[in-house]
Amino acid sequence: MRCNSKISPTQYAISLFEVAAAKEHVGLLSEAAEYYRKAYKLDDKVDKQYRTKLLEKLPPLEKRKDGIPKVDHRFVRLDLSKIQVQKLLSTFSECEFEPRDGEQNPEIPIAILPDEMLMYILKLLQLMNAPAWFNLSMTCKKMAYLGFYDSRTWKVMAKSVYSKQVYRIEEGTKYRQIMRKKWGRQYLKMLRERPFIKYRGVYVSTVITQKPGGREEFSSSWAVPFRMITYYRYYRFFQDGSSLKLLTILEPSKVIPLLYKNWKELIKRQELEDKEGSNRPLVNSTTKRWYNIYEGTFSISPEGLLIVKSEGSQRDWNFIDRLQIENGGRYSRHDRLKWIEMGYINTLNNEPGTFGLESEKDFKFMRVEEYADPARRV
Amino acid sequence: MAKERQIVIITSDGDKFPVERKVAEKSILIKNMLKNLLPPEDEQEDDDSDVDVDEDDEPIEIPTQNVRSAVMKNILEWCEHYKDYEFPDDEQDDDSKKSAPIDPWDSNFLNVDQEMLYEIILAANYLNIKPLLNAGCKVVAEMIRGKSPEEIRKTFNIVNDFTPEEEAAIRRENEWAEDR
Repeated sequence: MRCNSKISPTQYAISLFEVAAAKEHVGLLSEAAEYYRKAYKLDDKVDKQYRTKLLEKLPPLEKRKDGIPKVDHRFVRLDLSKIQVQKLLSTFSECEFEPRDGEQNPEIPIAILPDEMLMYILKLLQLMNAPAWFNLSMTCKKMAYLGFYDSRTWKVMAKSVYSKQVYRIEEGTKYRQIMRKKWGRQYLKMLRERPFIKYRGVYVSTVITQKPGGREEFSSSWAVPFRMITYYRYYRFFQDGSSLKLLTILEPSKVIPLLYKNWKELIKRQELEDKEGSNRPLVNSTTKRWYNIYEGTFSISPEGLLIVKSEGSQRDWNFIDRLQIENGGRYSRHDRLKWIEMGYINTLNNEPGTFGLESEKDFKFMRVEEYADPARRV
Repeated sequence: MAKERQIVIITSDGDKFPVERKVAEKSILIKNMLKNLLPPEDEQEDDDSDVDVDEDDEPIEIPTQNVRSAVMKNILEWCEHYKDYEFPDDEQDDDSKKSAPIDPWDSNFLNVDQEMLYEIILAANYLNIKPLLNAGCKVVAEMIRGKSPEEIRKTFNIVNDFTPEEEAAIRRENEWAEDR
């Protein structure tokens, strides 16, 4: 961000405040505090200004007479407790497309396609671009019925998801029978209950710890300062059973563009570009050590126990992480990796060992749109 | 049979399109029809054929009730382009082929207005031309890619008929399935 003479100090303060808020959002509390401080120095009422700016984006006043909604202004205060979604969807079976503006433009060209063709388009989207399948199914009752209720939709997803999983063979075969007994053709139930690794994104574990700091020399301060430290663990998995792993202080936006199989090349290219004088170097000499990406291999059991073997900071050690795929909540499925064990084997004397997990946090899945780009899909 | 008999496709609005056999046979429906009407040269004349073929030099007429002339013109242009290309058997390994990006020629060819696009898809389905059907559906998929539900509604001119509660509940229930 450059200080432009056309920008007033207040505006500049607001943009600093926005950066601070973004940092805070990803857990970089120390950095966030720094930006907040700078913002307040420029304008001590910056928080109010920021709030005014946020409010401008909200719906008009009459719609928020009951106060400012907290999360998503469209959905807050809706009582969803009485809605049983599957039952609701089943009532949409006879629904047809209705025009947006029936008087001016009643034509709906797509309405000439029979359900089978719409199903086929949904299937293509399931295979090519799952978020697009979801968004099409969210457009109206008819599409919701086809996209979310019709059992074919879940069959396509189950086939596509589970065929891409990397199972440890010995456990996979004995499980097949149990699987058939447990779910049979209930594909939605299977998808909800049977864990899977997601490939279109990264798993991020954000750890925030405090460390006691020291007083400055001759300081007369009573309080002992402390340092807030944020670090991240990243995991990206590929369908061929390989994985990338990174422990770093760098936030997701700096890491995601480099977590590809050709990460070495990407980092080098980035370094070169930085040298040639782009304004903000991504990989400079001080941050370079935070790009120690380790390659490894992974496999899961049908119950969702993930084992990752990789190289690491110790040359003669093999690092073995054990994590369990879990649900983040009632409505988010298979999106957490819970730490079971962080271990290693010393290959020189074959001695195993483990590290403490006290300060570690579980991984959360984060979708990355660029990872779906077929040109870069591996 | 010394020379190929002429094949004429008749559209729903009565237009006649004379076509080469290999162009017409891109449609599996027509191909199967012709199998009955036009036995290979070394075989005897098929007595079972239900269309009368008294004279060999009379063209074979194939009526297609569901396809109008403007659409048929497009379909035949597509068939003409691919007449010398053997499409691999569709049944096997279909999912990986389906998720392949659309062929640039097809994408350019199908750069038509929505009405025409859907009519081509319908006709390709009726005439059983799988690669064209697949390409057409991929163009529709491309129209949806990267759009929010509201933007998709605008594209197709369809209204949001959910109540806000229904919409929120359905979204919450199924959102997890986006990530994989």
